[in-house]
Amino acid sequence: MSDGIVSIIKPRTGWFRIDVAVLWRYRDLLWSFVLRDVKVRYRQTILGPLWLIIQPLAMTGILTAVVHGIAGLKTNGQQPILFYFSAIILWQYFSQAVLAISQVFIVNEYLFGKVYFPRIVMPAAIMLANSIGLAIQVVPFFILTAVLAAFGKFHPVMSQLWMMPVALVELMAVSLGVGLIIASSTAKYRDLANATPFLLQAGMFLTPVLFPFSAFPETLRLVLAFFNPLSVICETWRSGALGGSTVTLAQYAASLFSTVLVLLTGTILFQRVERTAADTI
Amino acid sequence: MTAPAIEVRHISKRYRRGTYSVTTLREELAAMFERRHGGEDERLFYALKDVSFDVPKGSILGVVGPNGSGKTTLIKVLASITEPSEGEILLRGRVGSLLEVGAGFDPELDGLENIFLNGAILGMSRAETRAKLDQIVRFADIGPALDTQVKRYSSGMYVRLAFAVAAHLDAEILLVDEVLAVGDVAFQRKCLAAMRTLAARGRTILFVSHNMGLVSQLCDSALYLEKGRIEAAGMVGPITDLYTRRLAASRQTRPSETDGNKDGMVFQMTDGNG
Repeated sequence: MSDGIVSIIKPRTGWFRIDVAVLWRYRDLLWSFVLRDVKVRYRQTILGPLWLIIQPLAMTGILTAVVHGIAGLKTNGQQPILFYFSAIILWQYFSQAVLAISQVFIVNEYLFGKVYFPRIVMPAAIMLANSIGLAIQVVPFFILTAVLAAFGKFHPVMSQLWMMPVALVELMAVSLGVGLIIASSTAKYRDLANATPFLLQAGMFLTPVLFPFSAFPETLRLVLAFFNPLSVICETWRSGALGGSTVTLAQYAASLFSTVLVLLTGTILFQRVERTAADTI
Repeated sequence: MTAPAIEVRHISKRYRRGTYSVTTLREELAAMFERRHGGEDERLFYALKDVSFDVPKGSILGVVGPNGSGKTTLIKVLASITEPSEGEILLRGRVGSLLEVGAGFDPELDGLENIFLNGAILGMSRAETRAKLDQIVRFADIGPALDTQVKRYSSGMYVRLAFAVAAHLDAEILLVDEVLAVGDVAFQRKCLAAMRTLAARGRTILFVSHNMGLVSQLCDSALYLEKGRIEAAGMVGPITDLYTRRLAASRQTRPSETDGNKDGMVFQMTDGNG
């Protein structure tokens, strides 16, 4: 039983206070929200989670035909189907997670006004639920890889596979961080809520999704790695799957530093806003 | 003598009228530089002002007052939903709250899934919820509807399920805000009995209601809030009398309102005496 729990409620001061013990108490809630998100997404659908696979497959088909075939954009010698598919699932993860997390105060206005739980549980659950989706999408990717390899269209490189999970962890961190920053800034003034879809669209052109990282001028790459850590994450993820990487250690370090900074900033802003969000949403 | 379960000390809560826009941003920036104190803004008002009280362990406190008196704000501050502007509250034990019917329900999930989700939101682990599942299902008594999406429920079924989860929550402190009005009389009676049992087992309950019948049946003591301040506290009888007198007085001063409202939405004494 919880007889020992004594809580004190008073106006909080200080700019950073996260009670890890309280978060640990709510781990079951985190899991419940993840389950809820996954279940609700495919309720009343006939194809269910198959939608997870249909979308990137269709997108890859379009990109291979139009961007590679008609516009003739280079893929740095990589197999185009795998080149686009690997980046598309990563980009979709980022844009969907960021959009969902950024709306966390607006969408849950009612819930947040009626029940208490550490609010950070909700964005964390969104991030994890999306990760399950990405994990499912990786399966058809590897099937596609095996099929193309069997037909001699692709020579699989196993030695860099370890880069995929590394990139995945960074991807989760940066998505959560960016989402939290936008969410915190929309709790009172909604301007950024209007700008988010546009910013995400624009961001895709600063991320090597349709083209390789090496398409950016070499002098700009380090700056880009810092201001858009996702550019390096995307390249690392793709080279993990396909082999060959043009990311230097300095660029990687810049991206990692920026990722940590974004996540930290997001967490701090979010926990400052959540105290009174119920009054200002 | 054990320590009180709830100790409220000089709690105040300020709100700001109006909506947020460029003007408010300008004011906020100006305030940042001028180091102006919040109190000078005429648009700030106190939803709660210097509220202090104790609730002994195992007792039921009724909170009454007219609309806008600060009852819901008080319960939201106690539930950690929003932070007080001033003051301090000490809570001994886990807090469960029932502020609105099925607030933690996802309409797309079915009844059973929602029991687990709502339990988790109220702070129960999945194992705890599973252990209580039979009792919850029996108490809610909505039978075969458990595998139906909650969005297809009637409001009565909603409140049954929500109260069933909250009543079986292992919270030492339960905050209940005017939620029983939705259920029928039989279910209300069941809820009252459940709350009395909880109190007898040492749970502390804070009960907000406009239904003086329910308050006098259920509560051990009561407090009367008006305009964010505690006007009276103590025995239930005098407090409910005060509420009734004030309500009658406000009706006399505003005769136009009583004309169209003879049945008195606020009063549901029939349920109380049933």
